[in-house]
Amino acid sequence: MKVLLLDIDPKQAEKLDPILSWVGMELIRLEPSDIDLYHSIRELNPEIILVDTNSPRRDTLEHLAQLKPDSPQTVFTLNGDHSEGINRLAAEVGLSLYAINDVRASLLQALIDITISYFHSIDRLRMEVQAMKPAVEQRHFVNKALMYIMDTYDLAEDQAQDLLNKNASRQQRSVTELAQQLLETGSFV
Amino acid sequence: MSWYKSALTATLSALALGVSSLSIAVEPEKEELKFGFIKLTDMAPLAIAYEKQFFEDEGLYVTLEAQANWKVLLDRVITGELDGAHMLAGQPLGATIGFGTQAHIITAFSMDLNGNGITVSNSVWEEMKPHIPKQKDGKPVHPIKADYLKPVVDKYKSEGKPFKMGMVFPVSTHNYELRYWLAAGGIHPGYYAPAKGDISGQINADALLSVTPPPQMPATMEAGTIYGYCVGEPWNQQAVFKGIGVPVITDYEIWKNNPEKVFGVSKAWADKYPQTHIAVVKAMIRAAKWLDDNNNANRPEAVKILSRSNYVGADYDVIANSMTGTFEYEKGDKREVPDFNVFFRYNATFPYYSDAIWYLTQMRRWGQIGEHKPDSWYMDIAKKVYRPDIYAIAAQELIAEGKMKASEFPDFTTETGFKPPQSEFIDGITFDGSKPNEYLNKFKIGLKKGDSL
Repeated sequence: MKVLLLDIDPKQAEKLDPILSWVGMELIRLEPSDIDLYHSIRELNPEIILVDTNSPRRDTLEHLAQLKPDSPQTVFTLNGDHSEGINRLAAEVGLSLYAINDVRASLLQALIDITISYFHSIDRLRMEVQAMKPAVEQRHFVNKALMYIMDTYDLAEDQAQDLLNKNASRQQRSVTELAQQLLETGSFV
Repeated sequence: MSWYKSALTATLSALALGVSSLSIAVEPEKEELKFGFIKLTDMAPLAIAYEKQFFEDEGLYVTLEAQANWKVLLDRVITGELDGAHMLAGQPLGATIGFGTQAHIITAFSMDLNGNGITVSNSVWEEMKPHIPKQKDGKPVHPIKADYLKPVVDKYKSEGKPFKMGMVFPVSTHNYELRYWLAAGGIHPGYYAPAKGDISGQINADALLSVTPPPQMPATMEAGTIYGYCVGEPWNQQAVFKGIGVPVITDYEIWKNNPEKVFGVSKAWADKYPQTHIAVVKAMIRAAKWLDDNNNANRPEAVKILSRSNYVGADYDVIANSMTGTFEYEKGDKREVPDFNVFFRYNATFPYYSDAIWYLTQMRRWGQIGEHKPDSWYMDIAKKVYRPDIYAIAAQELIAEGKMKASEFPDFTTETGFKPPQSEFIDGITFDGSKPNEYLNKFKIGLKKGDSL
């Protein structure tokens, strides 16, 4: 089954890539410079098109769908039923779906559901990673500062840690802050 | 939002009325509204209603949001993300009869008359030019008929090259105007075939029409993918400024004072917020009047507003070229076209049933409506979608509030919603909105009663 990605920015496309290949769909992309959509779609014959909801070329897809009833049509309902998923796909992920009539509604529903939840989970993961980053960075400074103290004063690691902690508490500053200053200036004060 | 402000407005207008009348504005049910538009100069009534605070005068707090394509604009009106939008006249009709997208959309306000043009590439123009009659000063005689394009199209055809032209949407005015002009010159633009399987789509076509987003028209023509296009402004004048093409005709010359965009809302929305709808129409009527006041005296100010990036976002000079009463054809051949864009005069804002019926006849003529329909069907659809009754309430409130004069509107006691038969078309054929099938029979090229695809 061939899926065409149209005017989807590379970051979004990267996220879609694994989903589509997991389910065994063949991915085709068009370059933004590929100006003659009529020609390209005739050549490529995609069964499903995923397009950026805000792509100006959606109006061209509408025309194609009306000229050729066997080309991909807007998916507006699934099996005649209104599907909340289609609206969510547009509103939350920014994608609109076109498919030829032969593609089963259950398959489209699955594709919509997987895409929405995958995009949400990726976004959540990204937020968690973002939240972790400062803690990792702080640890990195402290470790470097300890190495510096151990080298400069010829101390063991627990002694270096002790020295850093005591200086920090005397100055009423955080250990990380002091570690950072130590690395930048070479001085505890 | 500040409820007291709208209450105050209501009170003030009630005071201004004194003890009169039934037509006192009632508070809108919904005050915060979001309207969509496409970056074209004919979105002006929305921009002006906002900038001149006509919306606020009605107690409405409006956000205007540019949309990237006609499809998403319609979808968002259907889902309710947008309260209403600047639409192609064919969109509410097409959606209501289920061509493309199925949804009941209505309009109570026509946004403008005219405003489009047809442009061809420089090389096509050079090939057309020897066939066109000249004035004494050597400039071409206008209007330029497609008869003079026909030899060029025939030549391309004999060389096996399809003659490709662009327009903006399947149910766009531009599609119907381009088809009308071509067919009047004996060039067949092809039929749609919604009911059939794989036929290359553009059956019988001498010219192949495709959809290109308006801002990309000039570049697509420059790249040689299309040889010409029909589009709204500023994209014809842009071709002149860039020196890549020549506008050959305006739609004013194809059909004098043809209805263009409409303001569309979903039927469900209009039923839920009737007072809001009336208030919106009131604000937009005032904006349209402002745009045409004193012989277009406000147009330079309007152009300044429209050129901002949140509205049309094109150069002042490019927009001004068409908005201030002139139109530049071949570079340097700038002619007076004071009615190139009409927003208010000639009852431009009144949603005539006959306008709706003209669009429906063209949908039938080209096969978007696959089979013959009786005249009564055309009336029924027109009445379902076009709502002069809502317009009339808005107009009467404005008259009662002293903001407008009765003489500025059709006489609502006698108005039928049908314009008298119009004959100022490029092919001289008369359109009588009350006889759609008789009208369809007059065209040499186009589907007729017995035809189906």
